[in-house]
Amino acid sequence: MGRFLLIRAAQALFTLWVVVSLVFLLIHATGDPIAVLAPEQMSAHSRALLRAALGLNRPLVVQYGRYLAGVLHGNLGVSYYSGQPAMRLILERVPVTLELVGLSMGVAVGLGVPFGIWAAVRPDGVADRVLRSLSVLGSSVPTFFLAILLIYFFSVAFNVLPASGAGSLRHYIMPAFTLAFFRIALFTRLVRSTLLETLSQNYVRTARAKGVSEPVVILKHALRTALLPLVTVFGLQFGQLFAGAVITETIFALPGMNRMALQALYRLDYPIILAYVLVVAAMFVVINFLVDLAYGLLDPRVRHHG
Amino acid sequence: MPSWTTRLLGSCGIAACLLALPPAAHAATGDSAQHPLVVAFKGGATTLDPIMRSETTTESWQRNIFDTVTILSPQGKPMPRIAVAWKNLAPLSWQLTLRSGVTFQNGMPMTAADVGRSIMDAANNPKSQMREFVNDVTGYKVVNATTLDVAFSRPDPLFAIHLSSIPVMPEALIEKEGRAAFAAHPIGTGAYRFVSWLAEDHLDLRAWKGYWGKPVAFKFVRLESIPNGATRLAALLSGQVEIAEKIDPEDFARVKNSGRAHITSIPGTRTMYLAMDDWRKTGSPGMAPGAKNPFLDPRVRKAVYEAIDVGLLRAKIFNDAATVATQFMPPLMESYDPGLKRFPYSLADARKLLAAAGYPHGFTVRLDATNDRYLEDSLVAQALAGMLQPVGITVHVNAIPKAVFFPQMNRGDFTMYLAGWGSIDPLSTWNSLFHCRDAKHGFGHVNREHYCSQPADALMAKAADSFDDTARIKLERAAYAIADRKDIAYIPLYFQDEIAGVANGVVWNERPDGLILAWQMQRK
Repeated sequence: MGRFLLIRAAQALFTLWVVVSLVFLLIHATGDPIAVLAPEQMSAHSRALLRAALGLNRPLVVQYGRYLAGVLHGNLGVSYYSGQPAMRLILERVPVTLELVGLSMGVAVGLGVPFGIWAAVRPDGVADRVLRSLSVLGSSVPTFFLAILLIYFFSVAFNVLPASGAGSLRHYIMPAFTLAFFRIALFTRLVRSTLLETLSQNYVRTARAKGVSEPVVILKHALRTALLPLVTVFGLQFGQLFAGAVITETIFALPGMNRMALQALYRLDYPIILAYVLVVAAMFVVINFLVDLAYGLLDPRVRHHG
Repeated sequence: MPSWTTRLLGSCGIAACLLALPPAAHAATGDSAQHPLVVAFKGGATTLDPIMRSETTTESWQRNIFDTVTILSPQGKPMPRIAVAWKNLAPLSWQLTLRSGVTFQNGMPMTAADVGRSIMDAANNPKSQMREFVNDVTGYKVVNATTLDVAFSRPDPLFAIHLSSIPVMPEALIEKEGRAAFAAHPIGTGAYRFVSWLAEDHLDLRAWKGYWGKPVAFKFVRLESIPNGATRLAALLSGQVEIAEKIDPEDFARVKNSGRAHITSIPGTRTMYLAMDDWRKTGSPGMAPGAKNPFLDPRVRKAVYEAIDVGLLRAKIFNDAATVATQFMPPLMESYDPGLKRFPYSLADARKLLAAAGYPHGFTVRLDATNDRYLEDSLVAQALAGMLQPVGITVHVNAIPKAVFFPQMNRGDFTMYLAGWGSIDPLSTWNSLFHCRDAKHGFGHVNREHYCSQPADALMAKAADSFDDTARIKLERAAYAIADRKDIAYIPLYFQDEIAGVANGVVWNERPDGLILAWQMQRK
């Protein structure tokens, strides 16, 4: 286990280095931050001063070297716009994004898994048919459209939920549901198909033949196997949302890190973009690690060979 | 930073209660921290250091905490703020009379030296974005507690206008604790004290008891960012916010018909214009290889001017929420000539001019524009292409993100492009955008078209030395007439309007400078 962890840590560091270097080179190739940062009236002389003050007048290699040296000392630079440490600006906004993603994934699993079981128990029954049509709707409605629709009904027409901000749990209801909608459908279909497959296997038939009651067969024997693919998809979806909730964060004006990163990208605020990329890459590393661990817990074979 | 897990668990625990509770009985808006007056902006302030960002939203948020030395009236006149009077002693010297009894929000009295050092800070800090307003200031002298002499390297007849962008900061405090700490907990002399904020998201303010000015109508104010237009509108219509800026023109009717809010709008200071290459003989980017540059001929520029129906742009794209530009300078500027009219829209005349210039069948050109910088920018570019087609000018629109557009524009890589210009004053606009290029003296630094009129430059040079308002304005108008009417240096299109939706219980009228200032608001 110790060696396993060490290898994983080395892999993770290498991944982070590659990601940061690639992004560093790419963003420096795309444009000039001063052209966006400086007010249009600013004279050439003032622009040169500003460029020098931000260290952007140095050769790219020097900037890259300084940046890496800074990262090793835990210093990711300060935002060109606010002068505040870039990592702190991103970390300040991580809780909102995590709350949003955690809630929506919770809703998605909390509804998707029971729906999937329900549908699998009686394939082609009424529940299965209704859930299947709903899941088509769930996977085809665009996020922004659903978000605006929710705002229109719950904020303007009925005025029961706030349209924007992140002050309380009430603020998260609409955004979390917006993000969960597609994933409820996804998990329903996933659990349904894997559970159907498992239920036709020999060990399930054996359990039934032994006289084990149907709920126990489904929930204890079959579901455990059927959850393995769900864990993988859950991990992927969690990562995807963590770094992809940008539309939802923007529409509902949630102060999450994705919204900030998008603004930084528009403005070429390099330190923030890089800090964001580091956080997201690190998050993916952690999620993948946790998914591997969960596999071990759910499937004894993985534990022994892993 | 509170750990997110505790926050998550905590909020889950009280979830049911919150959901079950009916909305609490409202205290009057702005009377308590729970029910502040809320203003929703499209963007949010990126910093609270008041010299580090010259951008309207950032300045709006800051100027509820900080006073500027002067302030502009809706007519563009400098009005007293921290300075109550100003007098020109000699071409290179201004004397300011300062308000007495002004105190910073930490209890320190404001001194004349604070004002002098604030001006120098704005002029000299390498990251200062307020440099252009006070570039020519060389130093100051405290005459007595309320009198400050300011020295210049070049005459600045518009100093009092420029001071409307210069915030007064507690310089001794900044020296002691550093700029970063100061920006994290800003202290000014303004009507509101800083309570807390999250950069680009929200700023909570509380009326400050020691404020020198009239008591404010709303004790608690929250400025927040709601980037999405539909959400901002929903927040206004549901009563979640009292003011929402930048309402989309197509939503005006919904605001008016809601019975809860109304629209306020006024022409702003941003001129949207069309620029054309005025120097390359051939090989202008985006034209056929080897093709002559048609825009060297003023008749071609005038033809383009006359083929554009700005009234139609205003009606169809902006739902009348833009102001047709009769000249390059917006109405707030002293050189604005209310008597001027646009050259009339006339396709027939445009065709005649093109034929006379040797282009009876027109030509093909690329029009560069941003797609994320100005209101409806790429849509306007498309519309312009459509308007130029009937006179034979085939326009290929290249609408790109600002991060790509501006570096190319600054390098002079465009032949024809759509851009905006926010004017500080007629003199600096001239020297930046119209003056013959002269890098040594810092003239024409954004004159990428190489427009050059020595007679007009001479008029402006005279205006820049003239402390007699009437004489100066006459000179400025004469110079702009040459550029606007005779040479058609640029084609002015329209001024973007400053627009906000306001709840009916609040009195607020948009300002031409686009600032939204809570201390100027009233209750109805």
